Amino acid sequence: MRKTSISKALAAALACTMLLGGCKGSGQTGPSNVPAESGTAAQGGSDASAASAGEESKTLKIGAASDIITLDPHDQNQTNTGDLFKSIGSQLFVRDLDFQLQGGLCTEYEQVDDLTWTFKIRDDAKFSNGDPITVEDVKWSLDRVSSDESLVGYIYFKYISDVEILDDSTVKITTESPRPDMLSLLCMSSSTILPSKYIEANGMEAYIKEPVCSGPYLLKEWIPDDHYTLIPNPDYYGEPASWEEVIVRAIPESSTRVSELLTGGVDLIYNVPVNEWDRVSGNTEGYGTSLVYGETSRIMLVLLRMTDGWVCKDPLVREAIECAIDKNAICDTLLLGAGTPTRSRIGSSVVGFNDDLFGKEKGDMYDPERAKQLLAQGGYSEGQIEVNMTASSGRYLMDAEMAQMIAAYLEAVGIKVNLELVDATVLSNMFSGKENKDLFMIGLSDGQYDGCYPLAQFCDPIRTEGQSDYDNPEIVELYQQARVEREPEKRAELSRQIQAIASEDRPQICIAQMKAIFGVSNRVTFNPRMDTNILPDEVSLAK
Amino acid sequence: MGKYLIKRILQMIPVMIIITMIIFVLLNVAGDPTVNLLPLDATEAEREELRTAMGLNRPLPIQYLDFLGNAVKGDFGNSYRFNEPALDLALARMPMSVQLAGAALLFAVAMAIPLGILSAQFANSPFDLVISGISVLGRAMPSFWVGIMLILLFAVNFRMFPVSGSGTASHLVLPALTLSIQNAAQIIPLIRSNMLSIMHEDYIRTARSKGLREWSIICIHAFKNALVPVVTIIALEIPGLIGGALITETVFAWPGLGQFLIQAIGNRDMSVVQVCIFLIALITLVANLIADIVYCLIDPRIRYE
Repeated sequence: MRKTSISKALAAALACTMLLGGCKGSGQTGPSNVPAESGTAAQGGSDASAASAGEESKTLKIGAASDIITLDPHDQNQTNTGDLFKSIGSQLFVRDLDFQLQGGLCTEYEQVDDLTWTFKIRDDAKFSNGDPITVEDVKWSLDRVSSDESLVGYIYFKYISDVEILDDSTVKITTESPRPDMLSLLCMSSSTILPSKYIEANGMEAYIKEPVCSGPYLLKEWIPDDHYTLIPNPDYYGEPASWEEVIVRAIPESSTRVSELLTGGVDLIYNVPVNEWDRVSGNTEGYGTSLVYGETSRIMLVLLRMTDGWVCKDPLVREAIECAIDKNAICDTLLLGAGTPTRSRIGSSVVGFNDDLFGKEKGDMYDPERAKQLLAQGGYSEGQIEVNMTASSGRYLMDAEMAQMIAAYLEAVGIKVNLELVDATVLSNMFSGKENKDLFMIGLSDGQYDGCYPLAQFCDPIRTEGQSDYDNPEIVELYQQARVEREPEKRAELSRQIQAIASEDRPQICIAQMKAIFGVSNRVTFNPRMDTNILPDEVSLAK
Repeated sequence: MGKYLIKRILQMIPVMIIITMIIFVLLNVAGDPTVNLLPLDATEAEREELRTAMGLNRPLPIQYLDFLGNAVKGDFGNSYRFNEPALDLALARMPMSVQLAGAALLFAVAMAIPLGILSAQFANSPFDLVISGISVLGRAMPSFWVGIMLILLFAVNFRMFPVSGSGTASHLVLPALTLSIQNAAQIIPLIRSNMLSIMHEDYIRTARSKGLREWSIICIHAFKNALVPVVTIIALEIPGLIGGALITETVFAWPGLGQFLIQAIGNRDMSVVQVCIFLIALITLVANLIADIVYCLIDPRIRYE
């Protein structure tokens, strides 16, 4: 009682300050067609007096590390913004929990030739303003994202040269160059189909202010930097939404996110830092909380600068570096299981994954004696080789510690390492600026979950310039074939061949395929997806 | 006074121009905004396309003059991240920051005034030593640590307040308390030392000899004169509280200007950083001006020519 009255007294004392500060209505966004009576007003933060999640069992609360960045689906390339558009929007294709492609708005498709595709769309889908989703909307949306260079999504869709309406339910897409990954592209949240009639009549600004939805949920409100709230879309063409309300809060500070999870303020959080793992897995109060690991496509790797005259030009040195690093120790003792040793740039579950280069045995070549022999064979005395290594601190899970471990392994076989740890922004600048000083550690993901995308990073000499300077004509040739190969199995085989060659050439040494770590209340069950998207209907109440 | 005010307001214009120039140069030196907008492995040609579309490939002086010309008209450009007017976005977050700053000041003053006066009254007593010690500790503790400790104590262990977020008065308590501790720690010794020196002034002796009650001497005659430096400190703290509570707003997921600014810096959202710094600089200048005016009201001996 006493706690409550102190809390109430302090809160009351602040009420006048809140009035002075003004109400928080500014910046609110929500569709005009959301029923006014639906749901309760969403408030960020846990309700201390009603911490019991049982009272609101059909409300799912998610704690994200950052807020969504925009309500324009074509102008973003961010995981948690993508979560929103996969919940409130429709794409031609979707990926299921097993990461298999399924039809979204599209019911049938055909690849006519290398450059031409036709797609039939369903006739029972409509937007939340009542307009049916038509082929005109598909054309308008894909035309927009493939022609407006200022949109972030343009980079993925600029290869589309024409979208033609064939009949009331069919569109033909023509590309400038072969795009066998077309279906993966059309799964992306930046290919969301927008209501062309509404936007043409009211402008994009009006859409951004009051988004017209077509997914299983409607956006009830968005308070920037605070939270957004979803409620079910009664007119959704697919399975009805399973939650009465979904609140996704932006909680940038990781320890605050964990505290929210422990106190029942949220049911699920992204990115639990290692130092909080015990607190989450050891919590038995209320429903209790657990850690859930999910595979991602992110590969932590070290790029080796193979330029003429540089120390890593020598293949013996590159092999010695790989043999010197104990990837299993990094994954087991440093990442505590949140990574799997790999020698492949393509993650497991991605098309073209090479199983022969992955796992505790096949993904790790640790043999310090062999590393020393290789260096001796190359005529290098101990300490003669000195390399500059750049890595980030705080951008990826245990990145600085991982870089220090790698440096220590290299020192142990006689390679002197000058380690430079930089912050996330500097690392991005150096990577884009192609400033690899010898060794450059970075984590790279696969935005399309298609092998060709990550392979480009070392098969395309334009991209490797200044990073690894790798240029193997054989691999470039295989990559060109893979890019245009229409048969998925043949493409996958080409990708596997490319990885096998690259794993011997070593323009980069892949360390580990990383896992995403989620903190989950035992009130709900959750199986993470490889793209780390959290889709509300893939979270369910625990039985 | 009127002339003085006009002079001060005119002086603000070159100060603001210099500030925008410094921020513009620093942000452009810091790096390329397309790095954060496009995937890490985008090619240079793809980045150049986006730079051209955003007008970032023009010479810096031309970009700056464009910015300045538009800023005069109240147009600070669109946020790269939100693709909406940066000024509107920043102004939309101001009420939340004002709310937090107001509550923090309220807490700080409510703690500092009685403790400062009591410290002076019982100077060099154990009570005074404890309060002085707490003041030093309050200034020494970094706000992110205080915030996390308050969360662990009052939200996780005692479940008295929500961990983070906004929307109700109870959400405001912990972030406001976090911010107020440092402010109170600054104000307490100031009030204490002012009160100590004022209590030995002739007019206090006169008041005592007239038989006035001690509390009325302290609270009315002495405290009013001890307030001038306190007003200065409060005026200087207001801009910091509104725009500078970066860490506290982030720890408590408070959707104010500070958190917005820190994200904009991380994303190199130049228009937003520029407008936020512009607003904070403006608030600083206006707060200083108001402090000068308040001096006159508190102490009629102060006059500006």
